Amino acid sequence: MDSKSKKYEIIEFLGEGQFATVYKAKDSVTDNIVAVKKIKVGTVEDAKDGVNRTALREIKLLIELDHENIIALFDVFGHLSNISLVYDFMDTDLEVIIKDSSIVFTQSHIKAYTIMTLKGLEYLHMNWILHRDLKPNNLLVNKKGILKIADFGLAKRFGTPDRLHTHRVVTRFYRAPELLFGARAYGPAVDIWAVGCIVAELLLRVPFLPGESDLDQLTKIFTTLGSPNEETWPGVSKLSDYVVFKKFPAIPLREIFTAAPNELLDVIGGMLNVNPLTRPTCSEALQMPYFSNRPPPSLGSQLPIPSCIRDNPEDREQDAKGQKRKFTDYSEGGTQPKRLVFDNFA
Amino acid sequence: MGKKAPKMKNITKSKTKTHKQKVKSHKKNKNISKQKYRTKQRSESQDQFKKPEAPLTDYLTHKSNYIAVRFIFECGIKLGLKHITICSAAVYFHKFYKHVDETAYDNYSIASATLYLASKVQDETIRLRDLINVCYHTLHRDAAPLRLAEDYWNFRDSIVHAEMLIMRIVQFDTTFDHPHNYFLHYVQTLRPVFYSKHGKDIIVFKKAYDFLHDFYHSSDILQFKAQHIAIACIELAIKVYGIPSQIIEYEIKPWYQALVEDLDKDTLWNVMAAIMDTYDLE
Repeated sequence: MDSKSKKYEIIEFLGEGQFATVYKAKDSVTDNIVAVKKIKVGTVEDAKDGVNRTALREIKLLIELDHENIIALFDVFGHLSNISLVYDFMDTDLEVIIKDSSIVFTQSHIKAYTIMTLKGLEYLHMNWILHRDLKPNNLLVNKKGILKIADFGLAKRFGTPDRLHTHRVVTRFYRAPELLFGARAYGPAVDIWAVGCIVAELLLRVPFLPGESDLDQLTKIFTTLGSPNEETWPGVSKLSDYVVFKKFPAIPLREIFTAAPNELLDVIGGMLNVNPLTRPTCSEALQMPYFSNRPPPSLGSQLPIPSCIRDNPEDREQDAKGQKRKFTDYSEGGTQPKRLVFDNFA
Repeated sequence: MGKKAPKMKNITKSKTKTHKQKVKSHKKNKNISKQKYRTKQRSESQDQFKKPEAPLTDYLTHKSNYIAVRFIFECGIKLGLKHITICSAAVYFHKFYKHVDETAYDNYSIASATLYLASKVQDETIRLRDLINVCYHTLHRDAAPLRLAEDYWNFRDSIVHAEMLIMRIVQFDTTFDHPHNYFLHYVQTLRPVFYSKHGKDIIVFKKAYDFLHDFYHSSDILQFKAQHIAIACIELAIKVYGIPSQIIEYEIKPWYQALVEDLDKDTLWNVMAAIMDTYDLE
């Protein structure tokens, strides 16, 4: 199997996270461009515990999944004590696109991204998998405008009633209120909440609910969307970390998202319902009128490409984002491509 | 063989208490006491621990893949792992030895590592330290736990290395379609049909479940479809106990084809033969 590490020619270094280093590489057999994520075994702690759990989880789940909007795992190989995972090469991610101020989103763009995210997530939920770490940074986008859900390091199977989950999941800005209240028997609604936050972020271009601590996150949620009580959310007070909040009225979404069409507000309002049981499922959300109304979603080729990919390489070397990338946690490849050599990219 | 439904384990425990056995010796002789429970009535008058019917396996003198899987089951139960985790470990073990010569690696290091790997895959985390203590004690039943010295660190390193080796040999594919997934549904479907006032149906299903877990001792578990194995276990238990039921004797179509369409008689017999062959491996 060692021959596999030779099968992939490394083209360039893409980024480094806490657990992994990501390279862009070429498959010397098929000439496809791929992303190779090499799991670090640098720290003593890791080596002692053997195979990295996060990587194991990602391999276990991705090996069984096949969907256009889910990152594909092509190959896994071990070399010495390293494990490397080979993925689709993705040019950028939604976070870069959102932060790129040269891009103007049309309603069609937002609709297209939302549909692709929901379709990928619908497939995951249909296969009884919770992603548990949805955020723009984990939604990768390639040059063809196809969005794929990545980073399954926190993903987990759900549906066994006696199996509890940890509530310490999901990046804080996108964490659902039931998780913040310490729920341990939660479901797909936590992913739906995160999608709601992401859609809101597509409109606002900044994180919708940027809490500074877990408590501040709850405060931000409730001051914006209204605080829950036993009537609006039966059972909320029984959650282990429940704290009583002052009564806040919900701010009408129309005042926050002034330019959004009503149907989109319905989608956001449904997904960001503080009561998890009343949030729609992915399939229900996709049936909402917003997705079938005009304007139609953009085709992949019409979706915006961030300036860091459009521009010539020299400009990008100075791009501050490249530095930022290095410190962000465990991100999947394709965040910071530096050259335009995609001729072979299928 | 070293497997039992958790419920039975409890019964065994409480029974042990009534016999005023020390907890420690109970732990050591867990397997015997379980075997004993099975033959409780016969052995009631005997001293349970001095004349065990099935002696504890001395793993160091009996080396074979079959015995190594028994080791996986014994350690897994001692660690309190779920059945599915233990079964996954057995599957990794068989997958590993499908590609590797039986004498190339130490059976028990590989077996210990499969348990560790399975616990990670099934999200049922065990501490490596606990695993080492349990495995070491199962191998050396009279020895004191390993001190945190060279031997301990060597054992630890060998498990970690073996884990990586297993991952590479099985090509990182840790997925396996366990017959359990189907078994439960079949049993749920069949229960009303088999219902017996005297609880005979329960005995049959328990026996079928025993067959299923025993079958994990054979590498043939990798050969057949999960659905077929599940049916074969049930059919074998029915044959052993001879439950008369209208559905079982239904002549137009075998009962199991209502549950698994692609299962014909020959295949079923092959699987059942493989299950029975497991008992010759010992």
